Amino acid sequence: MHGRRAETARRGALLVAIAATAALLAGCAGGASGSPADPADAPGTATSPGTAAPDTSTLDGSVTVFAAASLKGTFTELATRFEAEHPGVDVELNFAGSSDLVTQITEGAPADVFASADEKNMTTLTDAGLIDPAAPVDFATNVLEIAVPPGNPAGITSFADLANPAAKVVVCAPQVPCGAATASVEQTTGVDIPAVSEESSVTDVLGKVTSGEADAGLVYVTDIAAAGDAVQGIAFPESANAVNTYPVAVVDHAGRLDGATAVARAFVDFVAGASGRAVLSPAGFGAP
Amino acid sequence: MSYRSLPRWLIVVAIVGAAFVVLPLAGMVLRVDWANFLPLITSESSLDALGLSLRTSLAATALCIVLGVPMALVLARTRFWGQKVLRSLVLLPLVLPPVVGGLALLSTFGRRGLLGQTFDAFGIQLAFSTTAVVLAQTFVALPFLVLSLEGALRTVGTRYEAVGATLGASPSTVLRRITLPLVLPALLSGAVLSFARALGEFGATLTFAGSLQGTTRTLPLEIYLQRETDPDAAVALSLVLVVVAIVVVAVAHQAGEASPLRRGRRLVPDAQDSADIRPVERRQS
Amino acid sequence: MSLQFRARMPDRGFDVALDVAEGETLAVLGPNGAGKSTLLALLAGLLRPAEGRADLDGTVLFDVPPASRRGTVLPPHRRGVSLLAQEALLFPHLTALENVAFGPRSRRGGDRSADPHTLARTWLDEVDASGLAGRRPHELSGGQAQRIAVARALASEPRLLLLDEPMAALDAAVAPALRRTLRRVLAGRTAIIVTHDILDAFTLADRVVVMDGGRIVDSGPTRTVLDRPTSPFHAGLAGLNLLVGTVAASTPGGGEVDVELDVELGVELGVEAAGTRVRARADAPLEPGRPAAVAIRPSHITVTVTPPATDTTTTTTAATATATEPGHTVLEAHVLDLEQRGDVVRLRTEHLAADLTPGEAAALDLTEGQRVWCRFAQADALAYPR
Repeated sequence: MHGRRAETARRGALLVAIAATAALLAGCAGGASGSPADPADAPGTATSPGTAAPDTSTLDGSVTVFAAASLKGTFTELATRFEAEHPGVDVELNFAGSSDLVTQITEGAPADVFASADEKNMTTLTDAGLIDPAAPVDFATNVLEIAVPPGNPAGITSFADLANPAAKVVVCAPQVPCGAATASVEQTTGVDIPAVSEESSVTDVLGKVTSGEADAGLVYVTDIAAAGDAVQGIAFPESANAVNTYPVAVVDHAGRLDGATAVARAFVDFVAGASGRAVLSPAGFGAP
Repeated sequence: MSYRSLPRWLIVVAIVGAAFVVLPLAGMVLRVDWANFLPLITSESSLDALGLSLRTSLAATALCIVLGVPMALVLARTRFWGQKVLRSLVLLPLVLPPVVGGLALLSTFGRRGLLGQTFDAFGIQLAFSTTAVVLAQTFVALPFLVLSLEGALRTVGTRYEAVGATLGASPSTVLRRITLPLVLPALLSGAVLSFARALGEFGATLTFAGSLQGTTRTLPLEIYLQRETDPDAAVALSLVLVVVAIVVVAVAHQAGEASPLRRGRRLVPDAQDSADIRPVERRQS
Repeated sequence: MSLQFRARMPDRGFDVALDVAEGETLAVLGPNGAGKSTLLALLAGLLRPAEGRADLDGTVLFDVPPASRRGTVLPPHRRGVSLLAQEALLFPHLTALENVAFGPRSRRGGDRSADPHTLARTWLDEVDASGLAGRRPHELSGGQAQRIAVARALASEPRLLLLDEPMAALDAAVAPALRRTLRRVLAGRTAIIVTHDILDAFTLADRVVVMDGGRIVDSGPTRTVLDRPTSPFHAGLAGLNLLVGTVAASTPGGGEVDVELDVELGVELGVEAAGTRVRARADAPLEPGRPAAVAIRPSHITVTVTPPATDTTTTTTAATATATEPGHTVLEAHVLDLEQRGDVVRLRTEHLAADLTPGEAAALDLTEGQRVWCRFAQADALAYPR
């Protein structure tokens, strides 16, 4: 993986060099008003994703996708399918918590596409001028579900059951997306969960449930789907009060080749389109 | 005046090494939002986390002393079959990834664990309790105390203890009045290191105890969580932890220096002693 | 009998039986590895015997039947046996006074009427160290520390005091003062002192046992065993030069004898020396023709690299002892080796050993095999029957 990353970096450097040459040529020939290297100009050409994309069959190059950790399974599958459709394209994937990805991108990580697990982190990047505010497209939704250990020892059947102080319930801390969603459901339903622990990640919540330490945990339906037989999921209607939306967008870059942007746009379209749906639905993601 | 023979290139590499450790700390200090520093570290959740960390780390240190002193004594003063294996196992938490430690604790003290079910029968539930935090911290900190104390016990040797016994002191008296005072500096520095390790414990706590403000969310867990929403607060709290760690390391270093055996070098030449100790007496009175 | 001791440690080749009377000080002499330390460790309770029994004033220290895993072995702190080692081993975290008070404070169920500190001060007085009471061990010289260690051992009121070469680690200049102190405090006390130094045995002990190879090879009153050794082995222990031969002539009063040196007992003696005569003093009349031994301290022998100036016409030839001046004997010899021993340099020749000061040794600039002349006064040579 390390080697691959290095290779990508080398290829990136080459692309930058070609881009610089191209920009120079363009400047000489056209005498256009703004320099293509000026990032302020770039969003103007990317207002509507897909419109400027050339014929998909001619796509060539590489695209680096930064995606929320909860998208690991689906995006790995989507990348494979995308590469199969466009043999000249190489998709690099980087998964982490959405806020970590935002930090990485603001620090200058070379992301072409950002897929966030919530709108808040996407807003952080649009506020920072790294993504055109009009660019993000919602491509999936996710709702909370109750996770219980196999056999459901505490006999949880509804969201209201979580208020029972005898049951050990683990939730996400309000600082992280699944915790924010939990708080929002609690608020609208008036059910107050006396959680024994507020974990900082979905993984930690699931860990407490699978090990049997906790009687129930609140995580996303997709997390339960991914966990397989280790936990049992219990859907509850109140989850509709906190639907989490996943936006995806092309990240703006200075001095990037139009071709690369084209690949990035094509990938965003791919994710937000029918192909994406076909992969995302079985994993538990809802349509936006 | 002492001869120093270090080659220049070695000093250069040493400086690179020191920079490698110091620069990230400096980098972090530069990131601190000084204008909001005080409000950030005095927020309710921060104070709760700091207070919980100090309380649990002190409790873990006490537990380390209670369990670690006898362990070090047995390892240093007795010989039995499988001792080497046991010592390696006892020191294992030093090299174990903390998460692994947490999983190990979970499978022992957890609700479905080896001992957890027995505890459950007695109505004791460790999961998600402050006690679980203390256990996780003790698990990772204990080797520090055992290691430094056992080394000191071996260095001190048994000669003073034998003298004490021939003077009529029972084994318990020898332990209390000779052995422990002799290794007190090592015990102190071991305890301080254990405290520091307990204070920094993260993985095992996260895996084993959970994270709830005021109950199980220690400072490292709070920093980890704050990162999600408020990186400035995370950096500020990290700095607090760094300062505590620096103080702790300095104290441990001081304690190590103060060993009575290290001070044991003779300051008085024998010539002064020969037959005439009068002048000394005069100076004393 | 105060102490009756018998123990075997087959793995160390140790097999010793000895008794010490109430108030008696016994010196144990012997080369390294003779089993002296094993003896002390067994008595102090730091070592368990394979077999044996020891009884101190009616208290059984140990009683281990042969080939038995059971048996009684009293732990060290219940024995009333104190051990004073080569090094003072004062507890570094306690002051001198607290060190001395350690025994009285730790004693179980003993006499609690006396305040440990008062007792400790008494004992510090006893060893002339009251001025050192407040000092920490690292503020004491070696001699001072050993003095405190003596007070500490005595303050625990042992029924038996063990001393393991108490002067060995001290500078030669300091040892005499401590030796005087020990002589005073050991008077009338049941004690065993292990030593290399014959002087310790002479000054401190009533009786001597000589150990070798884990066994006792000789025992008796100090003077008998050490002052007049009859075998080279004992002479070596006593640190004396021993010349053996036959009484050739005796003055009428018996104060002076000529001893003709022996060929057969040439262990210490070059064959060339046989037949020579040595003049020595005798404190009892010796009849001519009787076997006799002559003992001379190495420190009483003067060494020169040229033949001593003769005031007579007598020539000093090889293998000839000659009275070069009235009352002196000179023996020609060859250097075997030189060895630093504390503050002196021990010169060994094929028959006599001499102790030189480092200055003398440097001035002589001796090399191995070099010819030297050893001279001693007849007043320093003691002849006695063997």
